[in-house]
Amino acid sequence: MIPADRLAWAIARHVRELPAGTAFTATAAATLGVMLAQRLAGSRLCLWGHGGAYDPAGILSLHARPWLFNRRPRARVTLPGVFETQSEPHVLLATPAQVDGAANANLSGIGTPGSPKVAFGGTRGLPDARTVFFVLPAHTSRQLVGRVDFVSTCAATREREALLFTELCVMRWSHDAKRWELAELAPGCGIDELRARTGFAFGEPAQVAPMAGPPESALALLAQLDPLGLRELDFVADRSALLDAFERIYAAEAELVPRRPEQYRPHEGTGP
Amino acid sequence: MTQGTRQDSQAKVTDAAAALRPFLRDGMCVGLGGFGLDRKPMALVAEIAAVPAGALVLETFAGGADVELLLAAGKVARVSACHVGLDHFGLAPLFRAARQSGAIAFDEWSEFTQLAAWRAAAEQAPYAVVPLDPASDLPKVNANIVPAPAMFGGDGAFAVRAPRIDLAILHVEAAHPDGWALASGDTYLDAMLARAARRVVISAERLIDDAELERRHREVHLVAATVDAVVPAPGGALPGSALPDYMIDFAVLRRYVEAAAAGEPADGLARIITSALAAPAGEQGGRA
Repeated sequence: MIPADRLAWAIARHVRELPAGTAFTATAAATLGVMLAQRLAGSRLCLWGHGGAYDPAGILSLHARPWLFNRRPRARVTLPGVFETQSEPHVLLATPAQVDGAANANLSGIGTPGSPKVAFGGTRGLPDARTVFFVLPAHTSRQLVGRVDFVSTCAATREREALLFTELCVMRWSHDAKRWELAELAPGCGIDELRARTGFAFGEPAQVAPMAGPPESALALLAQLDPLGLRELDFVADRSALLDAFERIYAAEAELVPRRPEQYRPHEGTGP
Repeated sequence: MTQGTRQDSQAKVTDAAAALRPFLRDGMCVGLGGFGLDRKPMALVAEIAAVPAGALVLETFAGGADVELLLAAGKVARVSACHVGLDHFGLAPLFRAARQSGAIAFDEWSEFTQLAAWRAAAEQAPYAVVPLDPASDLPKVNANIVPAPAMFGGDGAFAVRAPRIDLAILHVEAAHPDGWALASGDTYLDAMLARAARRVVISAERLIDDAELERRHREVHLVAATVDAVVPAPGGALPGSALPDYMIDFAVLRRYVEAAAAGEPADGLARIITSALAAPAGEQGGRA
């Protein structure tokens, strides 16, 4: 089992109870987490996201990302359509550049707002979802910071308490305590290591559940849904190695994906 | 498209230079269709990059290589977007550098606030009222997002100003000479952008005849009345994708980000992007 498998399974366990709605995902692990919840726990969430889309072969892929398929669509929901249904339950499994101890997320930049010292790409849909969970696969104090310089969104403003998923833990935002509370800790990670790799203070309950690994059924499904290993890319830090991995996956996809356009069209839409 | 007299259908089919050059002016607002690296009108963007007009305002929902190419050509004064990036190739290096140096202004939106602003423009309304996370810093950096007056007893809503978009350029899978256009997959906000802009130019992978238009009429997302010019441009979204016709040109995009990281000057970066358009069909590294 690789860290991405544990992360995907943690996401699956927590999103499976969400009401039927649209799920946006920004990482392969998040996409797989929703897919596991759909397939193994009867989740009624519908996927729409950039973290790797279904392609006609039924696997996560890079090349088909702009075509955000599901295998069994219930409806065709376009990008404007997603926002037109924003009053309905939907969850954003976001991967901002930074998250801080007040549940603020930043996808804009570091430094003075409007004239950043380090510019990111822009806020995207972070403020727009009714429920926001954060998925930061690599747990590091570079991303889990004391205070962000720019608030793209604050998850603490949402009615549903936010969750934070990393390779090492699951944290839950406490509206009462107004801080992140440790909910699950990965085996092999001690609390001292977690503190050292987190840029903010968090609540430490006396009893913390282990961050369980996926059962055999989930591992088998992960291998089936992501045979090319997109979920491992979230943990590749070296830029050149990441581009090499992308290149390998693109080449592999070229061998797997049907070429005729009519083989794509029946799968358009959004649905589990 | 909200003004002007439509020309007859055959006159809509033209080349990029004729469709764009007579209309480009310093400081005009150009709307860019597509999303991220998908179905971006790169052939039309390359034409704009080659003309004297500059100080452009770019309106794009999610910018990518299109914004990069115009930045490389020195054509941009302001970018209005919810995001600019190169998908899994990471941050857009020229956009990032321009923000950090202050070389451009950036009107930053969330996806929904920008969508609402475009919708207002399409409906010829001066603004729209939308909900927004009250903790968000967006109103601090975008003067087009302001607290809305509480007219009916509630508060916490924001007004977003509708942009005035002089020209929209879009890329489609196929177009009829009359201007009907279709694209498989998600059409993003292209139809809304076309309705919001005063002039609309589309590039198309291919032209279709009456029979194919009738057969695929359910896939039409741009109605002829919103399109002023149709430019045949096979491969016109490269180095981005235009599924189902082709995926991204991986080799070009990789060369781009690596060259940018190595300090390649802007004109060299522009040549890398446009090299994907210059390659004969079928020779792009990412062709599906």
